[in-house]
Amino acid sequence: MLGKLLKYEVKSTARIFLPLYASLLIFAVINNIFIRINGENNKLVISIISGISIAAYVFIIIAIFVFTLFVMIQRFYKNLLGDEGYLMFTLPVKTGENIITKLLASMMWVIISVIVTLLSIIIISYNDNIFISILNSLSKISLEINNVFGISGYLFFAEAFIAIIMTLATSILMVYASIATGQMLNRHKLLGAFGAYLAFNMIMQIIVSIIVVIASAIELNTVILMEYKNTIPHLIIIGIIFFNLTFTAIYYIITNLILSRRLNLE
Amino acid sequence: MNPILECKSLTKKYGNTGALSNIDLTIQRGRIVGLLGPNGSGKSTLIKLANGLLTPTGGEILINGSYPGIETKKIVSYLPERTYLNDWMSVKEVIDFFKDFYSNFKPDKAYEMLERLAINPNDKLKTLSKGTKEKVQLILVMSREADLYLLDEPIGGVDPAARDYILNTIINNYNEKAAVVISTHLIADIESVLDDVVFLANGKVALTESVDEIREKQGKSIDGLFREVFKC
Amino acid sequence: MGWKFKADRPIYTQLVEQIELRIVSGMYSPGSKLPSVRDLAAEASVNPNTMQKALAELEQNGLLYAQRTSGRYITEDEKMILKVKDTIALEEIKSFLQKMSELGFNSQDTIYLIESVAKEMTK
Repeated sequence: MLGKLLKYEVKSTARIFLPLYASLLIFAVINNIFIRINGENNKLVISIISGISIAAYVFIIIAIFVFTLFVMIQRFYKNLLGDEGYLMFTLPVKTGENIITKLLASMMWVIISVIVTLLSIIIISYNDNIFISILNSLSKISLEINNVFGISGYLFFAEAFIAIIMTLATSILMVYASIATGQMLNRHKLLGAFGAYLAFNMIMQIIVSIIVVIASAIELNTVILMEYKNTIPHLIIIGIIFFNLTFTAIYYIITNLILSRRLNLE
Repeated sequence: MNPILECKSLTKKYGNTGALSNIDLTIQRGRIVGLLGPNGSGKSTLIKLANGLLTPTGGEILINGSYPGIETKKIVSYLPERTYLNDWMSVKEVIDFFKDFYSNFKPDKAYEMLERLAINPNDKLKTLSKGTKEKVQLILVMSREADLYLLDEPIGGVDPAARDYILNTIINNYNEKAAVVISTHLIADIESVLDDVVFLANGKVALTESVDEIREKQGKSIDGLFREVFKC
Repeated sequence: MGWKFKADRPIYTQLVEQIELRIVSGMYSPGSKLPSVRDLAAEASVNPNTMQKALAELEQNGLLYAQRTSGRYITEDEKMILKVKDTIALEEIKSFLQKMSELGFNSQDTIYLIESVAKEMTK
């Protein structure tokens, strides 16, 4: 059932994103051409057109990220808690499956948006050596990381990637939990959602502060510290991963409980 | 056999306001039941509870002996009072959607009814009039071979010809295994289709009786009795 | 002949009456097969259970009989059909005469009126 839900979720949202991605890549190609032309040619008209083209390109990037954020919130709010909720919540699926579908779809679009943006940058700056340059830079960075922190650069990249994904999941689920909390009210549901979001934010910040304080307290033991200096960034990243894993679970449980037991469709 | 729908001391409160209090109700398979009552009497609340869209504050509601959940959703076909379909889909895509999620959905039946009503499956829902959208929703709901049909105001915003078609669909769809619960204000139009009626008032059951018994005992139609009981 | 129902009387008794009418008028000929309960109910726009009740009563009084696998049939007993026809007619006449007397006509005036109206109608 989860697969089917995902299929329809992606179908519903692809209609918005695919055209945006396509136009971004097209503009990237156009801008690449303009850059080459501009180098050889100083005609004012061409400069103006290429200026506009670049502006359009930047505008589309901003649009992509705004839309990703907007769609993420709106799909949850409209499809699950609006009129369409009468359909989604009477399907023979678990409430959790509906939540996870929205989460995975949102994460997918964020990741794809980033990939497409990077792709467009590569297209714009494309020259014959570009892939070699990129690989070289990556190796250099990886080596540096190894030298300074004593762990494989690629392991570091992998962990950083996981940490980012987990943080993304936590952020999205925090929004869902806030919306779920807000919908329990009979009036001012949106206001309630905002309030819940601020409250969750505050709680997380307090907890982070506590952790930082504790961590700083531990750091007083400098001898041991110097021994393991290299592993600290590693530990920090792993710490971030677990922190977000915990909060992902917490927000998921909150959202699931609320929508299973306290669903309040208009 | 298990009654298909059973309410035992069912209560639902919103904060301090009670929507339903201590509802005791049994609906057997093979019956077409009218759920009648003025606005705010708790009809929609009762239907939402049966669908698992709300959770009881007290008492219980059982579908085929089980609490509302995935298993009951498979055998309950619900027509809400609003358009609940994704606007961007075409009629055909919605049929595929229902087929995907409901194993007892019969696409052939749906297409046949669409053809009878001259609705083009390739049209996008967005382009259909409100009345046509409601017909599409009804067709989807009736194309499922469910054990319990919950219809919330199925003939509300529809023209008289479509109303007849809808009532005939309900009659033609009849089978002894299933029950149909129709919640409506338009009593006179559907009286002849009902077996029994349940009157709800202020969240309580005011009356449960078969249509023929009421007409025999009271010498008036359900519509007439309703006006009397709920005189303003 | 359409199906018409009054709102203040039980539907199944009205169904019994209207099916009887169809039988005595010959619309359903003796020995012929009746449509299924569901088809009849759809035709009359009534609840199938109610139609079933009406048909069961007609079976009881002998106007219909059921063959287990093939459905319901109109009786071939023409005498019984005539008897029902007469009973219905007599009921109509009785209630008509009742109404006329409420209006103030005695039986003789009523009969005279009937004859003149009948003559008009045959012109």
